[in-house]
Amino acid sequence: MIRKQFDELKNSGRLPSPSGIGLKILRMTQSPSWDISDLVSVVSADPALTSRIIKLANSVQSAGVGTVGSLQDAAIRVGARNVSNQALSFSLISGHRTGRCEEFDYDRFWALSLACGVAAGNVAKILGLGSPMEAFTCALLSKVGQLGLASVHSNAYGELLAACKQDGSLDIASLENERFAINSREVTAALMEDWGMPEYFSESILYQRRSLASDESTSKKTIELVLVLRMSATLAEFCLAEEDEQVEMWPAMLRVREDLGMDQPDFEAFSEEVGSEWQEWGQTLDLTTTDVTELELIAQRAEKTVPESAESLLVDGEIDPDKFRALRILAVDDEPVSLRVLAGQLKIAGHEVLMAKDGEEALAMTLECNPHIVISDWMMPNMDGLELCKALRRAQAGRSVYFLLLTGRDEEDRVVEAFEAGIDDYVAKPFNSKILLARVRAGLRLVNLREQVDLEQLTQREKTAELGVLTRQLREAAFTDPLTGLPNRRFSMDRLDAEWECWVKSKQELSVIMIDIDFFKAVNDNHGHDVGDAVLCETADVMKKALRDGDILARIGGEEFLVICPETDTAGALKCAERVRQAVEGNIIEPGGFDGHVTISAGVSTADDSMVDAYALLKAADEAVYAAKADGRNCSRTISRPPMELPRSA
Amino acid sequence: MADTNETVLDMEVIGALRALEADGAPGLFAEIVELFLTDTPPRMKGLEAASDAGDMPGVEAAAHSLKSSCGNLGATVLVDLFKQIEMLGREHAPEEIPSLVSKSNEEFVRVQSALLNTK
Repeated sequence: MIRKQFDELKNSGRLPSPSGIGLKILRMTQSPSWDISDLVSVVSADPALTSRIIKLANSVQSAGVGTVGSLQDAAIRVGARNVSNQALSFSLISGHRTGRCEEFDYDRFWALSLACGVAAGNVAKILGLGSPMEAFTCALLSKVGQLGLASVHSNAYGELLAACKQDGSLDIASLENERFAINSREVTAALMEDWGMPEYFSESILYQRRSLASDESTSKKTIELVLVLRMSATLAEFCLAEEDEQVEMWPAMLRVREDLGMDQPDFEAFSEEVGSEWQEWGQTLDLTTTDVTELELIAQRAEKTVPESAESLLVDGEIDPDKFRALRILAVDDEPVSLRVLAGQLKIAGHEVLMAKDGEEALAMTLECNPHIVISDWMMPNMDGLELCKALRRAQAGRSVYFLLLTGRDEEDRVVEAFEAGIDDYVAKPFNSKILLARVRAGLRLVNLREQVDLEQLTQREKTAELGVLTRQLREAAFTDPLTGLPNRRFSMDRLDAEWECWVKSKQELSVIMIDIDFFKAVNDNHGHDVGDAVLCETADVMKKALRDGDILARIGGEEFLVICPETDTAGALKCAERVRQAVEGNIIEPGGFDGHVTISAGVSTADDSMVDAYALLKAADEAVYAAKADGRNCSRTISRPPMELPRSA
Repeated sequence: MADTNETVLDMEVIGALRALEADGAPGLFAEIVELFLTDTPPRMKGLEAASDAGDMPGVEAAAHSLKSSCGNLGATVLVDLFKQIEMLGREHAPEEIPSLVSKSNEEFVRVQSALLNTK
């Protein structure tokens, strides 16, 4: 339907379209096999465009990742497809600065679009939602359908705009539909599709004014982008508004503040940053921007006029992820006595319990009964716990179930393997019901957050901005170890891959330190898991304090930690490991009645050309930990590379 | 009588199970004991058969499962015996397994009567 209307617009030959270099980029991306070198040769023909792309790639980077210096760099960091999309949209700006529609304010249109782009890039960066570069591109073009209608139906659209200006209560989208049988949002989406932008760009544009619930198949990427677009639209409108309008808009800004999870000073700093970046980009692209009013003044004026409504907004949207409720839990064990005891413990805590006696049965039941949590034994005939977990993670329906693995004492060493298979947490047997239920509570937290997201999608209309906070909490929970609060294995592996990519490109030294607490099993065995947990938490704290700002500490297994040290050579990393080791050794742990100190063994490795990937770097650090253990523990070691040339016996 | 019970069964574990019952699962303890008493003998037969056949992976798996089953009821001596058998199975060292298996049979009789006493 809409496609037909759009094709009519297109046939007019007056829709905004890339020209010059933009057209070349479009043609390039339409050929089946293009790569970074094609992109570089096409775009670098335009030095101004090149420098804009580099500037943008730098501004969307996370801090401390290093500077992008060339188009090639930019394409490697943010992806060639992202660069080509962005290059295309920059080229659109220069080709459509004016037009035939007299009522259409072309300058304001691009200034507002630019503000949307800048705001979206920053919001995505702060919340860690999707790619900031993509958010920038999508938001920059998010209103381009208006330009489209103004270009094709310049007179009719002009009349429409004039009518809206006179009567503020008119809804422009319904007027567009009435007049052209298509609205500007739909035109935007269709144009993006035409230009080969990702599908979720157009999806997000269409969803922006709808409830996210209307379609269950909406992808996470789309939802994230919708949230970013909504927040950035508010921020952008605010940038361009007159002071009086800004006061009126203040409650909407407070909602954005909440979604960003910021306090007032942080939010003021953030908005000012967005404002000044917008002005800077305005100069670069030769677009007119306005001065940005100090947020503090607007806040003060707004508080005087609407103190109550502002307050009530803050209370709205409170979420309590720790609230207890009965969960549907699937217990899996081939051994009936353990299964019965496990089920008994869970039932008494108030949960609904399903039982399966092996992995295959559990797989079928998970897909059929959709439990919140699966608690499974490891060793089972037919399909064991890890195979079950892997199978679930491959299935659409099993991907989000919380998976808790029961391990035997002698399996604890292999727990890293289990995390790699996709488990969320594990409990060592034999356990008492207190420990078990504490772990279930940690799972409950994630289950609650996840379901709240679903619920919001089903019931809320037009209030879905709150999802931003939820999505972020969910994301944080997914990347955080619940016990120590440190980043977890999943996070550190992603981060390590990113650092590895940087290393491949820049060859700036990259080291990692693998750390294992010595004799930790004895702590658990002699003092119980509660004390063991306290020891882990305190040791994590001590290590964190002993590290430098740029180092990233994560808990990647039971008593295993990883430190990623960007821009650090072997000597530096060894020094760092030694500092951590001494700090741990010197720290007396009192909580939990442990009253003593633990020691660590640390293994250092540094990226070099003999390694094929980040995994090889990790493996080298792992070997170094073994060397440290073999040398009597409580020491730091490294293994010189390549290992093949290392004399085995002297 | 009470003395033997203590060495055969870890009363703390039994106490925890009874506490579960008190927390709102009437009959749970008796149910678990009965399950254990009917489920364990055939499993032990299976272990013995695997040992006789020299099937070491079979020995390891059977002992592993018996170990965790006995752990639930605090049958510490049995847990230890099965742990040793599991290790021997893993290391493919069949020599000592038959004597440990017969020890576990004797111990099971003791556990059985101790459990019936606690009922």
